[in-house]
Amino acid sequence: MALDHDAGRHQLHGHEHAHADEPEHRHPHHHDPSGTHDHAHAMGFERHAYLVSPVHDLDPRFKVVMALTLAVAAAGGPPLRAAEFLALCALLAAVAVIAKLPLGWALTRSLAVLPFALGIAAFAPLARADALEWPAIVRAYSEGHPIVWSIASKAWVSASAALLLVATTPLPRLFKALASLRVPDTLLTMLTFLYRFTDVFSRQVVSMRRAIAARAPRMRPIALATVYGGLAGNLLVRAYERGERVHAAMLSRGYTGTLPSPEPFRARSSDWVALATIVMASAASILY
Amino acid sequence: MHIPDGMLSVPTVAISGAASAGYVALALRRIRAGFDQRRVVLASVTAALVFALQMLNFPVAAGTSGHFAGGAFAAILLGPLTASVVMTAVLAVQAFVFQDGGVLALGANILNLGVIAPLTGWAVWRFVTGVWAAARPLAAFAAAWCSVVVAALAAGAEIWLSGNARLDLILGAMGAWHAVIGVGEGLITAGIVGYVWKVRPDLLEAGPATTRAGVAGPALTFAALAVAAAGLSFLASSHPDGLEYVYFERGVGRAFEERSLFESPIPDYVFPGVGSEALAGVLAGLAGVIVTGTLIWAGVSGARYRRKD
Repeated sequence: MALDHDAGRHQLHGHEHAHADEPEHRHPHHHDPSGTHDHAHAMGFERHAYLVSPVHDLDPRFKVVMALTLAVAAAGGPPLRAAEFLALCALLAAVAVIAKLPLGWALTRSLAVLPFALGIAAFAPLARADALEWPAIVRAYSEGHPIVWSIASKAWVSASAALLLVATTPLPRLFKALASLRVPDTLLTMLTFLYRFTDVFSRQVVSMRRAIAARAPRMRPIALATVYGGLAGNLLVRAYERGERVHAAMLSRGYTGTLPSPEPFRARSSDWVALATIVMASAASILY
Repeated sequence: MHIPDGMLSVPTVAISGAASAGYVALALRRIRAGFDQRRVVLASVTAALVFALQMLNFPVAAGTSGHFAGGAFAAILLGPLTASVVMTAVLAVQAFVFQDGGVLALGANILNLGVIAPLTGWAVWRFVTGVWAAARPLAAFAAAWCSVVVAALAAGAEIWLSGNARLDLILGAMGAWHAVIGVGEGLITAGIVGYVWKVRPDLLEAGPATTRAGVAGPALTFAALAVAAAGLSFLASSHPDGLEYVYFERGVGRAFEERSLFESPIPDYVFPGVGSEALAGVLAGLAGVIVTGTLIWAGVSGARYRRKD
């Protein structure tokens, strides 16, 4: 994309653009004098958060409320019947399609919730058995097996709603939305640091693990846990010292206890329409 | 042990959510009262560290693995109150970004891993180092092991209170499983504490001492809350969840799959005068029209964009 105004060269700003073989996306960046920009693209869970789509454009405050509404409607009500479940699936899939998210990726990520949910849910019917003997167990399962489905389907729908929220909203914008939804300052500072430094520390963990693996490839679990303890301690000392340096740097730039935030949000009619749609769909699913 | 959505009944979600929200609000107020930016930055870095350390997963049994939870570690380093706020941030990101634990169950998960685990770990740490000051790694191991097991038992109890498990089975399974996971957690925590004691002992001395005085009040408040919550939950648990009670205890569960879309389980009590089915139909219809319209529009604009290329 060509630069049409000079101011853009030095100011942090965002506009839609696409690189060679990547989808169109948008994120804050500078331009260098050659007119190109140079940046690290978000990785992993943030990979799709910077795409350009109607869902990405929605006000994050509204998206938070929408995701919570869907989670409450799905998980807070009576067990989902097949028709309700299919309708919610269709709704979630429609959002994913409109957001241009790869469906396979979204499905894989959301299904990760199932192993633990099913592990506990598989034993849930036993809660209604009178005794742990075969006839009673068989009766408990033949009458109570819908509860396995109930737990698994609720867990999945609610996880998918959260996934769609996070997959279409860059985390700094999400935190800003939480701030305007009255989440306390101190907690937000922690969340922001969590976001900023997790990746830094994770890379350190990866490289330290690789160093351990290179020097001691086959360790028994107990010995491994002890070595990991030393690794973690080392990381803690490094993190602490980094924290001190970062704090000193923040003070030098005029930090007063509140992190500066990106441009303020403005609710548009599309936000209200999207919110109304989700609320109506949730209400319909509860009322049926 | 992050509880997903769908497993806890509405009363359990509400009570555990209120308890942990109250406790964390209290902790935040304490932090703010003795506001020290440096400590907030330090706590924030610790949150990122706990998060990064979850990548240290260790094999438990039968091909499964456990990962570092960090409640006791944060409590030893920062004191239980700040640790609760740190764990709240960690658990919120786990729930929303990594789908580890449900969004509605976040309150319960904060209660177990962000309140009960740090308090347990801190109490054990204080007790053991008080009896035998030289045994720091041992104290850290005991603190971390106890915090994991107690938190797991609390999670099991919440699932039981929701009517979704037998008490003996869930406590046995969660306890046994996390007794093993706790060993890994304990060894890592002991390793951290042992290492930090050798390299930067000032870090361990600075943390808990500053918050010791402020802890008794919140701990008592929390204990009272827990007792009240347990009592309320027992009242609620005779009908674990009104709707599910009707569904399953009365055998309606058997008709569960056969019920058609248009047969209402909650006849006309939401909006008196308006049939809830009719209302639901109208709402669903409207929502469907909007979603379909947006889909078509997105498809058309996507196609136009591609043609332009």
